[in-house]
Amino acid sequence: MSSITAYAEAMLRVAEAEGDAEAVVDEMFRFGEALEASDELTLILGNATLDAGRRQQIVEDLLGGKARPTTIGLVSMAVAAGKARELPEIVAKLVQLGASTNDRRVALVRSAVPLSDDQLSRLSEALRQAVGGRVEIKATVDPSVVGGVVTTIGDTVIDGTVRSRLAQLREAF
Amino acid sequence: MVHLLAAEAPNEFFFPGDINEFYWGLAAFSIVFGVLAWKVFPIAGKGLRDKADRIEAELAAADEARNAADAEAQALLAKLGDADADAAAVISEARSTAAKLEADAADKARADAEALKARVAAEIEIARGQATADLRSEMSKQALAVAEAVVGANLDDATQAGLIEQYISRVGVSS
Repeated sequence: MSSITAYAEAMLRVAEAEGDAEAVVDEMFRFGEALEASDELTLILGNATLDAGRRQQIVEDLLGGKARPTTIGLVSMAVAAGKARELPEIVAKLVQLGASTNDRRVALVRSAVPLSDDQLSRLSEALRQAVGGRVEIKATVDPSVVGGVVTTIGDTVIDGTVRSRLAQLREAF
Repeated sequence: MVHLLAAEAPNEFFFPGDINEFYWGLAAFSIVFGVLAWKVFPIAGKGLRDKADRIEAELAAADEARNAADAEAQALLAKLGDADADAAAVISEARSTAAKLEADAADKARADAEALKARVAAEIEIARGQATADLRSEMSKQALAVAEAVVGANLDDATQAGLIEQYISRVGVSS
């Protein structure tokens, strides 16, 4: 078992023990996305020369009042253990484990603008029919897709973004 | 002579005054002449004949040598004639070889020039194709960058919503 999986399983057990696993996993997912999008934040939290307490303080300052104490504790623990750079991978595994616990598959959905609850519901249903099983959507806003939506379920990518169409156009030239 | 002999004689005649003197003189002369004729004249004659023979032999040898020299001179002249012919043949062959080499060199130079021309033309064609492709690629990049900016700027909420609805429908249909 890799350390990524070990950390993900440990975090899931803690979240389940606290009784709000789904919400914690969702918040962890959000934080993982933010960390992946910010090289500066990754550098600061992954800076081994910076005191662990100082790094934990930065986490608490960032998430305090915006996330559950369990989520803050898990992120703080990973940062103190020097796993900030691997946190996006740990979170991805955590989301996957959380979904499989509920017999669901994780669908990472990226769109240029936020999807409404109704759109998320209909997309979830469409994806359920497409993949033949229950789907847990993790939606994020990504302006780089320009327009449209791209969904990743395991190794399957369903790309309907303007960015990919422009890329196809570029390839055609 | 007669006057000299007469002057010797006291009687002023041709013969001496004492005829015995004449006879003794004649006898002595005959003896001397006989000895000469017997001993000296043959030797002198033989010497003269030998000398004549030697001279004749030398003349014959000289003549033979002259003939040999003439023959040698003729041979040399003949050889000179052959040498002239050989020289002419060599010069002719050299000229022929030079002409052939010149023709070969000209052919090779022409072939090289043609090959060079063809290679340069091919390189120019390749460079032209590459430049055209580069230009086309650059133009398409610029056009796509502009298109991307224009598309991004013109995607309002309604269009974004339309794209999302279209996507959901497509995913639903694909099932």
